[in-house]
Amino acid sequence: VTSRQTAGEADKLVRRYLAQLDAALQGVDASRREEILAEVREHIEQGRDGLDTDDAADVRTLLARVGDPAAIAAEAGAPSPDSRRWDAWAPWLIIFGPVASGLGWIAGIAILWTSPTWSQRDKLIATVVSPAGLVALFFGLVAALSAAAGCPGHASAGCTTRGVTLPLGVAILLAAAGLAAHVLPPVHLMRKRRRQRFILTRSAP
Amino acid sequence: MEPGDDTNWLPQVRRGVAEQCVLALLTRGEKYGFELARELGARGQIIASEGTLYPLLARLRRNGLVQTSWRESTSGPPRRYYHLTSDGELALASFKKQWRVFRDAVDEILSEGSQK
Repeated sequence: VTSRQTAGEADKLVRRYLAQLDAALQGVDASRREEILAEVREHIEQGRDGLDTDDAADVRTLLARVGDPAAIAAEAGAPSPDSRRWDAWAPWLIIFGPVASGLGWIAGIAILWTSPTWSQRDKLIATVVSPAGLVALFFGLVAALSAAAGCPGHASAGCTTRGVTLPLGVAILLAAAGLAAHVLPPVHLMRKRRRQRFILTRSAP
Repeated sequence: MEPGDDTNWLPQVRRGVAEQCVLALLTRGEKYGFELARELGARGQIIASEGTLYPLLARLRRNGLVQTSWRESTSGPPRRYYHLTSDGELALASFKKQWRVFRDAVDEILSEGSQK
């Protein structure tokens, strides 16, 4: 039972190491990243085949020889950790930037697109969906207010609604959907970043 | 750069030279990654750690200096073997020539410095 337990621990060390390497290789193009990961995985497997006892201590020594994932990533031309320096700001600027000032939003988008932390898909969604959501939220709120103020389908005196007016329920629904579309993509960015930092900052074996 | 930090030059020199050392190791026949990593790692200083060999090999392959082929091994699963291309041989030959001149020049300057 003991040997199986230590083998399980050794497997865990290897999996954790490969996850760290994968995270460190963010920003390297996908095919090269896959190639390097596959080769390092093979290397570790071959190293383990050569071990007399495949226990956690031996695997730790083996992984130490393979080296710091950050060093491998640097050799692969991964962007330096400096390029992630402003990451924490991007989601907040994308949420509150458009409301506070357009410049804040532009800064958020600039940070987003220059950081290796997020995928192209995440970047695109946060850039397009989030502002679209804000627009929907705005129109939803305006329509809801005018509906609540008792403006009928057609504008009458005292009602300054222009264009299409919506029933209150639909307007509220539109505002809620807009809010979700505005906030969820940046929240997704935060979670992705946190997950990566968690993997990267766990001490390397 | 910290004053007196004498290791800053090493990664930079390593970057160019380690590639050539890999080419040189392959002149005696094809090898797989693990073999190369152990040979280079055992000598110290040529690569920072065994894992840094793999990005380096990827670069050599992209530049057409080495090629890979999958081959059955005597034990275990098939392995990716690396071998030199003719471009790789040419690159190595020119490196060897230049390296001797470079090394001699550095040695000469260093020994001049120590005589004072």
